[in-house]
This record gives sequence, C-alpha cells and structure tokens, in this order.
Amino acid sequence: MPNPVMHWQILTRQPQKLEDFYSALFGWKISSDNPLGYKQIDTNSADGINGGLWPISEKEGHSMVQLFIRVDDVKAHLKKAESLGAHTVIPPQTLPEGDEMAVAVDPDGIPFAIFSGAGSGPR
Amino acid sequence: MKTSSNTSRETSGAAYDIASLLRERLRAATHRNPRFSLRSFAVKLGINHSTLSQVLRGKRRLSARALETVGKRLGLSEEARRACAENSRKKSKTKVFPKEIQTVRLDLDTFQLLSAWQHYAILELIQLRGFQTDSRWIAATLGLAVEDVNIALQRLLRLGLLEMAGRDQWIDKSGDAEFHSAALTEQAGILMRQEILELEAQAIKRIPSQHRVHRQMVLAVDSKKLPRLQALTDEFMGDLRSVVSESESKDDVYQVAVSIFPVTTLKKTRGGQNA
Repeated sequence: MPNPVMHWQILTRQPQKLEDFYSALFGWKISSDNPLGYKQIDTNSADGINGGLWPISEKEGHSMVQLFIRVDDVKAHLKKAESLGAHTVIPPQTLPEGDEMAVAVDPDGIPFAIFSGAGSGPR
Repeated sequence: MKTSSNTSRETSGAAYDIASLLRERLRAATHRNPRFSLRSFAVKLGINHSTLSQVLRGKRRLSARALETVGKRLGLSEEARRACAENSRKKSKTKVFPKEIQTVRLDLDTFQLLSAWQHYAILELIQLRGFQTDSRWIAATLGLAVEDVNIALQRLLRLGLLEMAGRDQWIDKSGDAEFHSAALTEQAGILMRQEILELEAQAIKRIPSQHRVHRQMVLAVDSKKLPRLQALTDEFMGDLRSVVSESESKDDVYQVAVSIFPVTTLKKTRGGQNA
C-alpha cells in the first residue's frame, strides 16, 4: 500500500491568530466542529490536501508544519520508523473519530504523524 | 487520584540530572526575560560560561565541587544535591546520554504537569460516569480553553499517562502515582500552589457553600513537631483517598489541598527562596 501525505498541520502558539490570517489571506474555511475542537482547514480546492492548526504552549518548542502520512498499520510503521532512526513521541492512539494515530520524530528531529483509518488526519 | 507533592520520597539518581535541570532553568529564565544570556546564567551559578555551555550540550560534566556550588545556587536541597552528584558519578562511567533532546522534553513535560492542575483534573475526569472523549466537553467542564485542554492532552499522551484506546475509551495510565520531577518539583510545586489558590478563590465566589469544604486555623506550634504534622497530613490524605475510591459512581472532580506553614518572621534561617 502506498503511504501518501494526506494532511498537514501547523503547530502554533497562536491558533486563533493563524485562523484569522489564513482565512483572510486564502479564503480557507476553518472549522472546529469536531470532538477535539481541532481547527480543520478546508482549502476549498480539489487540488492539494487539507490541513489543520494544533496548539502548542508558549514554552514548548517552535511553531512548525507537521505532515500526516497514511499507513495501513500504524504500529508496524512505527516499529519500522524506529528501526530507521526515528523515536516515538506519542504511541498509537485511537482518536475520537476512529482514526489510529502516532507521532514520531525523524532522524533530523522533525516530528511527523502516521495514521490509519477513513479520515484524513486528526479531528 | 493524582497527588502532587513537593516532598520527594524517591531519591533515584536517574531523576536528578544537573544538565537537564540547568537547561530547564535557562529556558524558563529566557522565557521570562528574552535578553537573559548564557553568560548571565553562568555568573549567577558561579561557573565559567564556556563550562556551562559544554555541560548544557552534554559534552562535559561538572566537578563535584562545582556541582555542589551550582546545586546550592539553584536552591536544591542537600538531598537533591547528593543525588545529582551520585547521578553524575554514575554517568561518568557511561557514555553521554544518547536521547538528550527527548530527555529535555520529558523533563519539561513533567515540569508542566506538576505546575498545571488541569492535567490531574483531566485524568480524574476520565473516571466520571458521564465522561466524554471530547476536548470541547472537557474544556467546558473545567472552565478552560479548548487549546489548553489539547495542549494538556498531548502532554499526557507524550508522558504515557493517558491512552486513547478507543473512540469512547480513554485510559488513565498514571494509577495513583505521585508525580515527582525530583529537583524540579520545588519550583513546579510553587506554581501549582499559586494556581490552586486562584481556583479556591474562584470556587468561593462561584460555588454555594454547601458544595464545598473549607477549614482553617492558626496555632502556636512546636516546630520540631512538623514531621509529625506532615505524617498526619499524609495519613489524612490517604484516608480521604480510600473513602473516595470506594465509590463506583463518581460524578465530579474536587480539589483537596492541605497546607501547614509558619505565618511569622520569627525564624530567619528557614532557607528556601524567601530566606
């Protein structure tokens, strides 16, 4: 099974500010109407992929963009990632809308998420 | 039930890592004052700034004497300083720890956990019959912003204290653990007590008196009996925990805090931040 990037997410200290910014700039529709209150971004286009905004605290790390890659087996891919030099940050979890997701940090220190399920990322 | 305490009962050397602690303190200082420099930090600690730089990067260890000086200037207890020295001795026999970045993050996570009540409250909420695996519901229930709930959830997941096992099933993995971050605990404890005082002030205004309990008294005390008072407090908290855990139908989360402290300025040599 191929492993496409299905979703991107901006980790930000100022989610509301970025929601206002990107919706004003590109006309993206941003909705939090889901169990995690996740700011889901719809770019209003059949091209490209959609994304989201996830909050980080003032004291934690830097704002950055994180990729969500779809896999058929989260645990197996996490194990494979670790064997290739990644380390797990969040072990596999079942999100409220059913997708299974885990977060790891690649050998260059960049966090990425892998998920399986019908969705396109966290909600 | 989650309990926070600034009395560390564990003196596991692994928990007292001076380099991690220094990184945390530096990060906290630069957060408060972005102009705070490594050089200023080194002066404050009484060591050379290039030595400090190497220690922070895990390239060098402090000598026993320097460790003692730095520990004192950080306000660590004698017990914590001893454990730091022991930990340093052990590490000198091994390679520099390989997961440095992760260790820093975990220390920071633990610190945040200790100093923010919502983490404990979320884990307790899970036990309620009406619990909903929904950040919006948690936020409304605890009077928090959804963003603050999600930040806390992510931290709990990262620390392995929470598991999202199914759409409607979150598991508190912390048990009845007391969360300790050893040397970080004192500072985190101060922040947490400040938050709890604010919660209490809000509760007094917001919640009718029949739904809360407040007891207080001021007493003349033989200060040598403080260990006995502490033991009594532990006993009380243990009894309270037993009574609470007997119930199968928990429907709310309460804060319980017991404080015993001097209100006078009679003893100038108590030590600590206000000495």
